[in-house]
Amino acid sequence: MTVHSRLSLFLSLLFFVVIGGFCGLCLAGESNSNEQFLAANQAYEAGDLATAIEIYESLAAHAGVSASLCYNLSNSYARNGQIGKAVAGYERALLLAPGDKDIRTTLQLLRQDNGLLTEHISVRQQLATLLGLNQWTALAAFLLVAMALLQLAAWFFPVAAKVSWSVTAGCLLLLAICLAGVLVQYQNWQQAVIISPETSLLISPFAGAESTHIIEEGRLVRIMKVHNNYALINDDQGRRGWIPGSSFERIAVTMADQPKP
Amino acid sequence: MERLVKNRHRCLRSGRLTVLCLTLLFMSLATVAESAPPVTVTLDPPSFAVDQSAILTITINDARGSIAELPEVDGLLFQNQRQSRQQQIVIGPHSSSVYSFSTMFEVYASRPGTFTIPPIPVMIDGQRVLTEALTVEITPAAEDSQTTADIEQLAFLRISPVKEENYLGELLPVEIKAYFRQGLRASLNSQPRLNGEGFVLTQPAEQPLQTQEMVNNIPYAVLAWSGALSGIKEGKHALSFAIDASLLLPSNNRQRRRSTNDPFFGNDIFAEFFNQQQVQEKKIQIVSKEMNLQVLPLPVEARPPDFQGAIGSFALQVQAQPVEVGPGDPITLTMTVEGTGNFELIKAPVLSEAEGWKSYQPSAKFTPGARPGQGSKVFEQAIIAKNSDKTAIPAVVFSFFNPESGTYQTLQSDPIALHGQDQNPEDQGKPLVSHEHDSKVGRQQPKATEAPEEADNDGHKEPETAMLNLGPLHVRLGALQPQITPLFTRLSFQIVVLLSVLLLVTLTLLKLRVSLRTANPALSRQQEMLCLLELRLQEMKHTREQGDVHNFLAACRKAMQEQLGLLWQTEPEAITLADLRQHLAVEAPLLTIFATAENSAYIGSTMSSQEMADYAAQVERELRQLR
Repeated sequence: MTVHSRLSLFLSLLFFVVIGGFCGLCLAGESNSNEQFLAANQAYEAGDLATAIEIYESLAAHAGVSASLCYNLSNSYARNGQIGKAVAGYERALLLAPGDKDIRTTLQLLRQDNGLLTEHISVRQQLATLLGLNQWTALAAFLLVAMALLQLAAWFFPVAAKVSWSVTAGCLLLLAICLAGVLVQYQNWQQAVIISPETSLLISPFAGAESTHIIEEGRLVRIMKVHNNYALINDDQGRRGWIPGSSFERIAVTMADQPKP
Repeated sequence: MERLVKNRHRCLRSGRLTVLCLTLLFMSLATVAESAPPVTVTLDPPSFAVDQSAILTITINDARGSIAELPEVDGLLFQNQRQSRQQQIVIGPHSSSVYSFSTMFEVYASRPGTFTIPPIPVMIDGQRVLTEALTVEITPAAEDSQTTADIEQLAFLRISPVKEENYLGELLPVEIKAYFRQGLRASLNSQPRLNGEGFVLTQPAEQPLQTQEMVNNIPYAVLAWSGALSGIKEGKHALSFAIDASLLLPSNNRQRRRSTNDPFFGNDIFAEFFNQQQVQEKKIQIVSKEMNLQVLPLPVEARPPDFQGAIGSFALQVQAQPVEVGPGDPITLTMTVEGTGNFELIKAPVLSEAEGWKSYQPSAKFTPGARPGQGSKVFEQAIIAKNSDKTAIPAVVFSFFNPESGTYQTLQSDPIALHGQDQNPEDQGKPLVSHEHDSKVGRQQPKATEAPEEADNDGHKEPETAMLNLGPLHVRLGALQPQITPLFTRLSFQIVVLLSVLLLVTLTLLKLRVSLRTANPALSRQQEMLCLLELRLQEMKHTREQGDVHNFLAACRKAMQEQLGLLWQTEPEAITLADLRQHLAVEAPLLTIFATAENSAYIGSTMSSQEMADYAAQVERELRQLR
C-alpha cells in the first residue's frame, strides 16, 4: 500500500469518525431532550406543575424551542394560573406551527374564559393570519424562485408572449399578496403579552407616575417605545401608556432584538 | 347846481357800471380759466389699503394729447391702461361743446406708507404739459385684525360647566360644543383636545352630535362631543379645549374699490351673472375660554383597607352559580358594579372573609352607559371552598370614594347560602363541574357551567385540563430551534432570494436587449457586420503573418463580400466584381483589392508582406467606413 493510499484511507476514516461522532452527539442530545420532555409531561399529568414548568423552561433554555414544547409549557402555565405567560407561549407555538388546531383552539378558549377576546378582528387580519409569518415568507420566496426558473425556461424554450405575460402577472399578483401577509404578520410578530396581573398603564415612565388604565394579564400589546426599564405600549382597544419592563413578555425575537454585528 | 349834481350822479352810475362790467368780465375770464385747465389728474380713492387698488385718471380737456411717460414710483404699480372720450355740451346764448379724453390706470401698492406720484408729462398739441403731483396714503391690510374678530363671531367653543374642585382620579363628564355660524362652510381637522396639564380627556366619540342653536338671535350649527376629564396631578390647573377647523371665507385679497360709474372696472358682470364669489380656505384653531380647576388629593383618613381607587357613585350586585356544590367544586361569582365613576380603575370586589376560600383571577367586562363615566362592570371570578364545612359564600365588599359627599363608602353584599348536592335532587339537572378533580391545582374557568371533557385519546382522564378547556399535551417534542426568528433573517434564505432576484433581473435585461434588437433590424445588422468584420480581420492577420498570399486575398474577398452583402441585403457569395463596379466609385480601393483577390483565386498571385499589410489596412479602413 502506497503512502498516498494510506493517507487517503486515514482521511476517509477520520471523516467518518467526525461525522459519526457529530451525528451521535446530536442523537444523544435529541434523545436527552426527548427524555426531559417526557419527564415534564409526566410531572404535568401528575399535577406537579412547578416541576413540569421547570423542566420545560430548562429544555427551552438549553436545547431550543419547538411548537410542542411551547404548547405544553403554556398548558402548564395555564393550569398554574399564569395566564399571561400561557398566552405568550401559545402565541409562540403558533408562530412555529400556525396550522396546529390544538394550539389555536386552546388559545382561543383560554382568551374566551378570561375575557381577552378581541371583539372585532379586521378582514385584513383574518386573511393575514391564515398563514404564519414564515409561511408567507416561504411562499413569497417560492414564487420568486418559480418566476426566475420560468423565465429561464422561457429563455431556452420560447413560449407565446401572451402565456409568458399571464404567468408573470399571476406570479407578481400572488407575490404582492404574500408580501402583504408578511407585513401584517411581522407586525403581529412584534407584539408582546402582559404577564403581570392587572398592570397599570402609567402616563410617564417612572414608578410614581399616575395610572390611567388597568390592562389585563394576557392582553396582547404593541411596544411603541422603550425608555429605561419601561415600555410605551398600546393595545387593540386603543389604550396607551407606560408599563414596567417586567410586566410584559415579547412573543418572539424581532429584528430590533437581534444582536448588531 | 342841480345839473352839476345830476352830472355827478350820471358819472358815478356810469363808473359803477363800468366797474361792474369789468368785474364781471374778469370773473368770467377767471372762471373760464379755472374751469378748464388743460390736464387734470385724480386718484380714486385718494387713500387705500395694501390689499386694495385705486384708479388714477388723467384727463386732457378740450384738446388731443397723449401721456409721454408714466413715472416710476418705488412701491407703486400702474397697470391696465384704459381710455375714454367724453363730450360736454354747454347750452346757452353761446352754446358750445367741450371734449375731454381720459386715461385710467389701476394703481397697486406693495407696502404701506405715504407715496408721491410726481407730475406726469403729457404732450398736448406738441407741447409738454405737466400734471400736478399727487400724494397717496397706503394703509396696511385690515385682513388679519378684522378676520380674527370676525372668526370669533363665526365659530367658537363652549364647554359645559365643570366642578372647580375635584379629586384626583375623579371622572368629570364634560360636553364640548363647537358653534359654527349657520351657512358657513367649514370642515373639522381634528377632534377636540385638551390644552393644559394635570388632566386627561377620555377619548370623546369620533362622530359628534349635530344640532342647531340660536345665540343672540343668530342661528348656529352645533357639534357636540361628550367626554370626561380626569385629574391626574394635584394642584390648580388652567385648562382650555381646542379644535382645528378650516373655514371657507370670501376672499378680499386684491379687492377692488371702484366708483360705481367706472365704465371699465366698476362691475364684474360675469361674476354677478354666475353668482360666483372667490373664497379662500382659512385654517383656524378654535379655543375655548380658560378654566381653572383644582385637583384635591384623596383623604387619607377613614380610607377602607379594601379601597382600590374607585371614585364615583356605585351600586353592587352579587350572584353565585351554582349554589349546590360539593367539596372542591368551583363557584362562579358574578359581581356587577354599576353607577358613575372611573370604571377604568375599578378592580374586582373582594370577599370579606377570604380564609378558607381559594380565589382565582377575575375577568372583567365593562358596558358603557349613555353618558361618559356611566356604565356597569361585570367581574366573574371562580372561587373554591377549601373546606367542606362552608355553608355560605361570605359577603363581598367594595369600597369607593364618593366625591359628592367627600367620604369613603363601602358596599357589602349579603352572604349567599350554599347547599350540598344531595340536599336538592330537583337541581341535579343543572350542569355542574366534576367532583373528582383535585382542587389544589388548575385554574377554574369563570363560566363553570359546562360539562367537563371526559378523557384524552389514551383514555386518561384530565379533570383540570377539561375544566380549563386545555387541549391534551403533545407527546412528541418536534424539531428544536435555538430562537424563534423570522425566516427572512436567515442567511440561507437571503442568499436564495438574492440569487432569484439576480437571475430575474439578468433575464429581464437580456429579454429587453433581444426585443430592442428585434425592433431595430439596422442595429442588429450593424452588430452582425461588426462581428464578421472582426473575424475576417483576425483571419487576414493570421494569413498575413504566415505569408499565405492566396488565403490572405481569399479572406479579404470574403470580408468584402460579407460586409457588402449585409449592407446591400444580398447573398455574400453572389457578389462579384461587376456588382462592386456598379455600386462603388471607379477609384474605390476595394475595387482593386477585390479584382486582385479574384485573379488570385484562379491564377494565383504573389505579394510582398508590405503590400499585404497595405491591403489589410485599406480593407479594414474601407469596410469600417461602410457602417
